[in-house]
Amino acid sequence: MNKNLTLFFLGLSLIFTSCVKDVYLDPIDLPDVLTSFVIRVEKFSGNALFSATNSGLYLQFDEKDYVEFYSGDYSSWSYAQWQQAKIDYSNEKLLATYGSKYILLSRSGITSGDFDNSSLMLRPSSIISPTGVALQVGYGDITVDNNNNLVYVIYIEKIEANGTSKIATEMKVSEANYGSIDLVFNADGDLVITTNPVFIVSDWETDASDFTTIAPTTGFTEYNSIMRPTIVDNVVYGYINAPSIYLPANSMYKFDLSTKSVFALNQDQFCEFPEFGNGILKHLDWNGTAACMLFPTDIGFVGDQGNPLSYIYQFNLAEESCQSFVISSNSILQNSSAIADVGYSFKSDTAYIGLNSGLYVYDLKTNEMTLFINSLLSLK
Amino acid sequence: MNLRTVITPSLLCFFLIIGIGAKAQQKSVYLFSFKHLKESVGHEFLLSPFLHHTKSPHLANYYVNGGSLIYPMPVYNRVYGIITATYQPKLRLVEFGSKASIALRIPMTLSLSTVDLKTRDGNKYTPSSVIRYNINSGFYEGSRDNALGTFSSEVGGLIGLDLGKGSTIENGAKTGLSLAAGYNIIYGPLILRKYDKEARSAYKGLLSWGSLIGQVGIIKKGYSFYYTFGLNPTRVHYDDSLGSESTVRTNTYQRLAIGFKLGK
Repeated sequence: MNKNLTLFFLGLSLIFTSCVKDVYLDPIDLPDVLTSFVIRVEKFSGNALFSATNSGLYLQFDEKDYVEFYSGDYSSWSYAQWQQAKIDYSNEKLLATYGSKYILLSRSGITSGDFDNSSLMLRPSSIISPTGVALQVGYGDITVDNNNNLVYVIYIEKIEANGTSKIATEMKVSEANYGSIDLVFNADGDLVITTNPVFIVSDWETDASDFTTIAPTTGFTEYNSIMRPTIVDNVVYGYINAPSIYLPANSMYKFDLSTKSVFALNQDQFCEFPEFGNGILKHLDWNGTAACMLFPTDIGFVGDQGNPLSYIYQFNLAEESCQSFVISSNSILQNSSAIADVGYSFKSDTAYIGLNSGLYVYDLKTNEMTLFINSLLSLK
Repeated sequence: MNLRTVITPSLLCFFLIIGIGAKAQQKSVYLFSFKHLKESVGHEFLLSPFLHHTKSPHLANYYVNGGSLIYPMPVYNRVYGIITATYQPKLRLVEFGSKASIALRIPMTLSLSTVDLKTRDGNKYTPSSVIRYNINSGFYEGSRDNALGTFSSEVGGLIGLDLGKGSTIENGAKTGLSLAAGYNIIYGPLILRKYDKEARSAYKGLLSWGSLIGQVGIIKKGYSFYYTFGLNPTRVHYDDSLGSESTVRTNTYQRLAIGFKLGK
């Protein structure tokens, strides 16, 4: 028995001394650009997120996987430029364009510059292809047809390592249909230019000579362009104009490329908009055929009693139905004018709200609001 | 590999070896039976004045702004027992003659204690939202001024070997020895301080934890002494905001108790 007891104590001592586990906590490098004045927020599908602030730029590819750039690292833009810039994200690249200026962000760094200003590039729009090619499309030339009417010729300009390169095309828009250009890629990777007519370009990376022209034949045939478009089952959905604080978007288009018919839909026929506000000021995301849109109120100071400050609508153009979510006031957010921008992707119940004190996460289900960088701090 | 998956079977193997050895010597083994419940069950009352201290595993982080870097500090729940009382029934599962037994103990504990979620440096953790003010002040988590609450409770299960006195009802030795190991679940505080305002639900996951423990006891006539200790502590290494390395041991359990036999 004594021998067994000795063995037991020896074993117990060995086990006890070898049981201590070591854990190491490493310091965390947080994106401090997100704790300053936020100008722009964009949420994309998955966990991708972009924010432009007074201090710099933040691009998140996935949870806790991000890059940040300080304002000294690139040609800074003004508040108004960031507010109005077109921003597109694909294949871990983000392209922001304003007029002839562009900023391209990726894991490897930041590139900022100007498009080719040596010739026309009227009413341009920009996009990143699913393969990560950044490009701009605009009217690069003006000619005259047999009836002495102006004809606008589309050019494609790609951003390359050492600047940009332009591709002249045979795609033409008549003076009567001259309007803004917007772009989307279809499921086959073809570039769809949503002018009137719509052009579907398969070889957009080379000479853009292989394209299909689809002009509307029935319905609202005299539209000029379909903005912030998406394409689902060969139907293009989009806005009558790109929603902005300067020009709210009140109507939307549905262009069936198979039947060549165009329908115009007024959002307020289907969505019950509140009294205080100027309409849809931002397109947030597409959920299939449903446009996710931001309707901020101009109600002013409301206190922290959970009063509505801003609305997110999901207007389904195919089903002609509308669903709404509300951003309510709380102890941090008590004034509608305090909201600089809102980012939202339909796949989550979370809105990302930019304030002058930083970027916040707003839970649309519980109305709880926390600083975004807090989500990057968790037990490791 | 998880230490828990190693320790418990190892200890059980030890007890089994000892049990076989004892069986060979005693040549008579009695298994627990409900027919002889009275003879197979013992009752004890354990008391620990100021001799009970436990720390939870690393449950959360308290962040300190150190300029360009944020320094996480480990937060644990700690219990200081002022008076800790335990009722501990003991079931003798296997008796080896009259000199040894393997017993299951089920300690149920209530402790008048102070309970707090804190860092080693004394930062009192609260899960309230981070606000701008906190960031400017250098802290990424809110903090409390006082301990989180009072009173804690525990329930556990220990299997161990009893030798000599107390090992069986027939044993007439003057002194006995008890060696046991098992799992203990701790919950605290039972009473949250009212002025904290945060609802108990806000501390979800931070107020209870489980821990492997070992127990050594010396049994005398009518009373006993027990020392209970944690079996799988964790050493957490971290940097403070000045960049100096610090270490804190979490998931610990220390308790010295005097026990009184209840009944015969």
